[in-house]
Formats: sequence, C-alpha cells, structure tokens
Amino acid sequence: MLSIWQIIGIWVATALTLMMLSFLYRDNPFFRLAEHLYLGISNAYIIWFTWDQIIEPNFINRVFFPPSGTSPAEWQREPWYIIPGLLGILMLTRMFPKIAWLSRWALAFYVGYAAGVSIGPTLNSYILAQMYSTFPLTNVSFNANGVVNLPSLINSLLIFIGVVTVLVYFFFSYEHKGFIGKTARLGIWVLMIALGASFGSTVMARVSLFIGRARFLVQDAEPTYHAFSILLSLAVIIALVAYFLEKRKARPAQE
Amino acid sequence: MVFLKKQFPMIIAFSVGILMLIQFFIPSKASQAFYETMNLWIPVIGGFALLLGIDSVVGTHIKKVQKLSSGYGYSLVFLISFVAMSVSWIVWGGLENTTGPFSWMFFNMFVPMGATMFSILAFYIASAAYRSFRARTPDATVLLISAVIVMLGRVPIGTWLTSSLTNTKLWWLQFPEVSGWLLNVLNAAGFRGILLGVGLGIIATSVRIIFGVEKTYMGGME
Amino acid sequence: MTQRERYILYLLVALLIFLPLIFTFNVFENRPTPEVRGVYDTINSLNPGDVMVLSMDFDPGSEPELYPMALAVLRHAFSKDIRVIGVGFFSPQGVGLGVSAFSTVGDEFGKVNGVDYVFLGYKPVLIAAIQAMNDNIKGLFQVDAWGRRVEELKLLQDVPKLRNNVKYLVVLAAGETVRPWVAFGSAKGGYPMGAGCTAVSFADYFSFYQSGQLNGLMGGLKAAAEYEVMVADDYLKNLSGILEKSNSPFTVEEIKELMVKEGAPKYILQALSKLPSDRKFNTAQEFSAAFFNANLGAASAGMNSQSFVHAILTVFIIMGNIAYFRSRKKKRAGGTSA
Repeated sequence: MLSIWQIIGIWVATALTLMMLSFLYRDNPFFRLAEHLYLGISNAYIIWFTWDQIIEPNFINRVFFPPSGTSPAEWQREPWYIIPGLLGILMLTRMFPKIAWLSRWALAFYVGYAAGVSIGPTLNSYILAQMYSTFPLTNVSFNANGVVNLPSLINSLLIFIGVVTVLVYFFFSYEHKGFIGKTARLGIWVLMIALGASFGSTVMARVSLFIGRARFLVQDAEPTYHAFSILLSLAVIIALVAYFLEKRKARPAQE
Repeated sequence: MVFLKKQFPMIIAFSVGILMLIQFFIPSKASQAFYETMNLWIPVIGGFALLLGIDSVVGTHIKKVQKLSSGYGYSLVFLISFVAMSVSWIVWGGLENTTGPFSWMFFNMFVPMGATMFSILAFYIASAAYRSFRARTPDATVLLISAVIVMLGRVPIGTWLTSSLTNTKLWWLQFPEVSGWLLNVLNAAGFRGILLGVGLGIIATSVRIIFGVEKTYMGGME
Repeated sequence: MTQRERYILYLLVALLIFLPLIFTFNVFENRPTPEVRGVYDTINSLNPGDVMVLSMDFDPGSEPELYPMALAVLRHAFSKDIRVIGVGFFSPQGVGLGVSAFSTVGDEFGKVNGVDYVFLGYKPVLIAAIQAMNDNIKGLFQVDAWGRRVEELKLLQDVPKLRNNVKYLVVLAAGETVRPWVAFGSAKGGYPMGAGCTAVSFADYFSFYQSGQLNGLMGGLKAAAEYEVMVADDYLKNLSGILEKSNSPFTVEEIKELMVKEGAPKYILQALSKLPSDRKFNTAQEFSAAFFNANLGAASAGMNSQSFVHAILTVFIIMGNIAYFRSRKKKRAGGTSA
C-alpha cells in the first residue's frame, strides 16, 4: 500500500518525465522548467554530498573536531590531513580571479600524482597484458587429445592480424603505400568492423534508455491512479491547443 | 612572483610525479606508506574540486533574476529548487534520512529527469541510423553490415529468426553466434589496437607532464 | 528527411516500445551468452561468507540499463549468502541509486546492513580511490552512504582492505571506469574481475574480455535480462522438489505453506508472493512458468520492445539503402544517356 507522499511522488515523476519528453517536438516552456528544476536540485545535491561525505568526514573530523557521537578522549587527530585540506582550499581560489593562480599548486600536485601513478599500471594492463594475449600461441585452446582446436587457432590468427594491421594504420610516420598501404587498408576494415559493432551497440543502448522510462510510465505510474494516461492526455491537449494557437498567429501574418 | 606562479607548480608536479613513479618500483615499507598516504590525500583535494563551477552557475542565475533579464522566470525556478533542496538537507538531513524531503526530491524529481534526459537520444539515434546509414563506400558497407549483425544478434528476435538452425550443421550461422564471434574476434582486435595506442599516449603524456613539457593543466591565467 | 517523416519515425519507435510493455507476451527466448555466464558462474562458485565487491559506477542517466543489472547481481549474491561491499565511483548522483539497490534487495533477503553488506558511496579521483580501497578502506571512507561511522560496520572489521580479502569484483560502469579498475584495482589487488556496462561501451571492452583481464562482460539491457533469466532459473530450482511433493491444482498459498515447513529462505517466499494468491495452476509446468516470469525483472520486460525497434530499424536501413542504390543507378543512367 503506497503512502500519500509516494503517490504524489509518482505523479510528480510522471509529469516531469513527460515534460522532459516534450523536447522531442520542440523546445518549450515545460521542458525549460523541468531542465532548470533539474539543475537546481543537482547543484544543491553536489554541495550536500561534498560537505557531508567528503569534506566533513575526511578533513574537518580528522584535523579539527571529532565527529558527532565520538568523545574527544576516543578521537585520534590526524594532523597531516591539513595538507590535502589546504590544497583543496587552494583549489577553490579558482573562483576568485585575483588569486586564481594559487589553484595551480593544487592542480600541479594532483596532476603530478596522476601522471606518476599511471605509468606502471598502464604499461602492465593496457600494453603488456594486451600484447601478450594478441600472440596466437597464448590464446589457442587444445582438444582433449592435445591437438590444437582449429577454430580457436583461426580466431587467434585473425586477432593477431587484426591488431597488427590496425597498429600499422595508426603509424603515420611512413607513407601508406605499397605493402604498408595494403596492410593499413586491411586495418581500416578491421576498424570499420569494430566501429560498426560499437554503433550497433550504441543504438541498442539509447533505445534501452527510453525503454526504461517507458516501463516506468506503463508499469509504475499507470497503476498509481492512472497517472500516465491522465497526464499524457493533458499533455496532448496542451500540445494541440498550442499548435492551433500558433497556426492562428501565423495565418494573420500571412494575410 | 613569476616563480610562484609558473615554476613552483612545475616543481610540485615534477616532485610528486617522480616520487609516485619511483615508488612503483621500490617495494619498501616507506615507499608503500607514501603510496597509501597519497592515495588517501588525493580524494580530499578532488572533493573540493567538485564545488568548482557551482558558484558561477548560481551567480549567473541570481544576476538574471536581479536584472529581470529574458527568461528570468526559469532562473527563479532554478533558485527556488536549489534553496528548497539545500534547506531540506540542513533541516531534515540528506540521503541518510530515507523518508525525508531531500530523498523524496532526489528519487521523485532528480532521478526521473536525469534518466529521461538521456532517453530522448533513442529517437535521435533512430533517425540518424535511418538517414545516414548508407553503403556509399566499401568501408561504409563493412561498418553497416557489422552494425546490423550486432543489432540483430544482441536482441531475442535475432535468436528467434535463426532458431531453426539450432542443433544443425549450420548452428554457427545463427545471429547470436555470428555477432558473438564478430565481437570476440575482429571487434576485439580493432579496439585492442586503439587501446594500445591509448596506453602509449597515456605514458607519453604522463612523462611530458612530469618533465614540464606539458603545461596546459595550469590554465592560461597570468 | 522532412519534419513529417521524422515525427512519423518517432511515433513508430514510441509505439513499438510502449505496446509490447502494455501487451506482454513470451515468444522470444533470451539465451544467456558466454560473456554474461562468466560473471554468473564466478559468483556461483563463491562460498557462503565470501566477500565480493560491487562497484555501481553509474548515475541516473544510465539507470535503465545498469540498475536492473545491479539488482540481478545483488539477488544472485545474496541468495548464495555472499557478503557484498558496494561503492560507486562514477558520480555523486549515483550514491542514491546504490542506497536504493542495496536497501531493496537487502530487505528482500533479510540481510543486515553493516554485517552482510555495506554501501560506502562515492569518492572523487577514481585511480586514487581504487588504489586506496586495495590497501585501506577505512582510511578512504569515514562514513557509509547512510552516514554511519565505518567503525560500526562489522563487515569492514573483517575486510579492512580488498587485497587478499575479496574473491571477486563486479564493476557496473556507465563511463570509463572499467579500464582503471582493471589496471589499478584487479591487477594490483590480485582479485578477478567482471564488468557490466552500457551497450555504448560494450564493444570497447571485448579486448579485456578476450585477454582474460575480465572473466565476464555484461553489456546493456539484454545482458541484464540474461542475468535475470539465470537468477529466476536459480529461484525455480528451489521450487522443483516442492512441486513434486504437492498435488495439482497448485495454489500459491499451498506451495508457500510447504516451503515454510521445508525451511525455505525468505527470498523464495517473497518471490512466491509476486504471484496472485488466489490463482490456481493446473500443472507444475504452468506454475513454474508463471513463477519464472513473475521473477524476471525490469530488463526482461523491455526485451520485446528492444527486439521490435531493432528489427524495424534494420528494415528501414535496408529500405533506405535500396532507395539510395536506385537513385544512384538513375543518376548514372541519366548521366550516361546525356
């Protein structure tokens, strides 16, 4: 049994969903209203989250005050956290043009960390592990009697040829003509297959997103006092009225 | 002053970068302690960075309402929702209060709107696929065929269309099998080539940042 | 493409999505693929009490695809009494979805927050957060997503860090978080990893799946539906013995009583309550089919719509190309004759 606030919530969610979807016809006041509502809630949420989940527990409660519910006797101050706290505050100076240059120190610290820490794992996981599994002998499977499984051998050879030809295509230091040109051409075809698969998947993804909303409207909103059908009918009436009003405005202009 | 604005940040980036790079190769306790400390400090700095941008968004809308510019009504809606969400956090608590107004607004307003915003793309991609998917060149034809195979292989109707081939000698021609093979072999090869390039690019850019060749992260401020 | 053609296409797509949701039917089989089975079989192989990590790296923009996936994976893990540590490193807005998923499924299974599962929330700077999780979870998270201190959470007393303590990681990613988890999480921490992602990035991650860095890969709504099918199948296995002991016609109440007598877990009794209590089923197969369909989730509900839209788009693409080749032939013929 839903409470009154849950019922109101579903009606509000349905109305806002339809207001957002109205953009499919054209930009309109209902969509703009919903968009600004979304932005307002989103920005306030970020401020809550940043204070409640990051700054207060990870900085304030480590350096200055114990968290609520913890006695000062039990609390262990961690003074070194003043350093990231200060660097974080320096990051915020970006909001004030006169002292914005101070944020470069915090950015440099952060970017230096990211640059230094990335090199080893990138080499291991994105390059060495990938290269290892490209070579045919590393990913071939064998039958029960120890004989190479022919389809897996063909697949592993195709992978090897595919990766090499794609890398040749991306190597622009030599002109793509002759043998290198033909290899690069094959690389383009492999890339086209990969990008085609990606596009096909993207179509699937986008359609899935709307299916999710449609499912909400039909299976969650509609059973709740016909929220979907009532609000949709209202939306259609408003759209038709707006359309005819616009047509009337356009006719005198033509006349 | 120029030193503090230009060279000092580069010294910071170099020192931190080199230390993080070296610690990867040194398995000592001190190196490990340094590594763990940095991993705990960086999210604190990143947390403050989340607040950047909010001041300009809120400021823009406040100015619009003050000057009564065109569309100031929408800015008013923004400010009212911003204040309402903030007040409900301060008075009744955030998401930890699962029955409070903050949670109510998040689940009944923010989540539906956020989900719907991206769902509109379904129609745009449908019209894009219809308009632009033409086999103009051999490359485009290959892309088109690959996309269609994946689109049909990744839905149950594709399985149904070729279900008569199950348990026959041509089982491998079923849409799910063909799309599975395409994704696991040729598609994997293509994206692996791209990934190798990306990996090398990450390493090159990281080295450039550490040694001060790459300075764009500092911005164009004087 | 004229504006009128565009709106007709939009209307057609909308109808093909809405109608199968309103008038449901089961014709098209959703066969689990090897990539999705990889995640399912790995979780199946874990023992009760083992700990796995579920990283819900998505926000409301990807909720339709990844939220059903999260629910299915959590249902599977909790049915095996696996303890789950949850995080969400994509965006702060994803925390609410994590809170909702863990609460919903946790209540279904009678799991205790803090003992059987924790959801810690979001921390910025993905590569730092992942590496910190490997070595010191309580250093990174001071409070969980509900604002409770981590010292109060029993699960984190048993698992202070992921390295050497965690048996499996599943990342459900809306954006680019799978690659960092592979390089900085799984590889450095020494635990196996599977991934779920939106269909947009699904094709990209096959290079990791093929290399074995991911032992399972779930892409998009279809993968979520496949997982739901496997979980519903799992639930159904609990019923088969009971159905043999009872007599037709089968009612939900009778089966429930029998299951309570047999000491069935809470989630099965909850699963049974999804069927109408007054309905009578003439055969065990009818009952099983109804139970199975009632326990599929949101992803499976959308598969018919997905199928029809893909089919119609394929037809339109073929028609568009036929028209294109015809007009090209005409132009060439017209050019030659001139």
